[in-house]
Amino acid sequence: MRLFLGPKIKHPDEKVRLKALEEIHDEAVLLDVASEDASPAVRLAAARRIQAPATLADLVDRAKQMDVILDAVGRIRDPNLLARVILNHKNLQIMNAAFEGITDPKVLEGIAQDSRYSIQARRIAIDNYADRSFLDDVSQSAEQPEPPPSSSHKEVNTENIRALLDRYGGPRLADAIGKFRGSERAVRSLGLIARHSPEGRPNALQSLDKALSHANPNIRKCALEELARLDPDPAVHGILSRAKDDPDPDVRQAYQRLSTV
Amino acid sequence: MAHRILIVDDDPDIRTYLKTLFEKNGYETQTAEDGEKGLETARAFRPALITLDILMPKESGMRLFQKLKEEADLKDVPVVILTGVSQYRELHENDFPASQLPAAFIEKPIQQERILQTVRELVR
Repeated sequence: MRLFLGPKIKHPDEKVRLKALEEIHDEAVLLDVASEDASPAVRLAAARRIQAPATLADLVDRAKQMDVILDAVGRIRDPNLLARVILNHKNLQIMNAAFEGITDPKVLEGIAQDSRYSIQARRIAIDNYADRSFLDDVSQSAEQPEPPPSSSHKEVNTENIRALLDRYGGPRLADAIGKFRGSERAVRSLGLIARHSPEGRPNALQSLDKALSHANPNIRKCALEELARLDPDPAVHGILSRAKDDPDPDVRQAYQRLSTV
Repeated sequence: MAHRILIVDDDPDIRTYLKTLFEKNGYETQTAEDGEKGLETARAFRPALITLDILMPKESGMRLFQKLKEEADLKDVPVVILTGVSQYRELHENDFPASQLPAAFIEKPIQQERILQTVRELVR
């Protein structure tokens, strides 16, 4: 029998290294493991333990494995760090994942105007700058608390969203807002469109489905809650049921709670 | 009769500045604050020239420009792109045939003489 005397995180057995990760809190060590371990499973598990946004951004620059990179991008909330990711990476998949989390018009304007960014990134920034204004309009309705059925405010709230749906159309609003599904505000707005617009519902559902696979568990939980508020149909059930095997215990718990309501 | 200019820009200061500048120089103007309203106003106002910002809510200047070129009554109206986006021409050079490029590009901050001269050359 071979004896291994080094640290467990260097052990030749992948299962030992995965177990050892549970004890590691040093983000520099996690960054090394997430970028360099021989096993894709260990790299991903290490990446998911990293919490500091700046370390996540460093991981995006150092990692070679696409699912590790996308997971890290999805968990960065700081729009300036996401802009750094867009500056450093020309890969469209990585750029799109970073743009999903940028709703700050100043940051989008900065990317559009800065010739250090790739032409593709600057064009996406120009389009997203235009589309994020729909998110502002719809989320103003979404952020109002749901009034009780007898409340006279309900009409006002419904009128706001109805006016927007009439003017721009549900599919167009859902597609514009779906671009920002890395933000909770966008996910809430997609739920609102799905509830109020039969025409926009399929497009909103498509984005909520994607949000349910987002790297950030808060976004997945938010998407789950919005899906659970919809009138049930086979499409919604099919999407919702994926959450029962979510890697995050909070999301699984939310699924259990919502599926019994 | 005064020539008509439509100013499409989301920045209220730019709209006011251009409106004042053009009207002082004998042009009739209307303004729109985003691309959606820009298209509606262009259809109703029938301008002789349009100044267009690129970074705008609802509809980017780029998308509005494409829509203008698809409208029979508006496709020949000269469009002057006013933008803070540097290297704008390079950014979109593959989007349009040479015959459908904007009439001029002017980078912000706007120089009064430059824009007046451009407008005079395009609207006679």
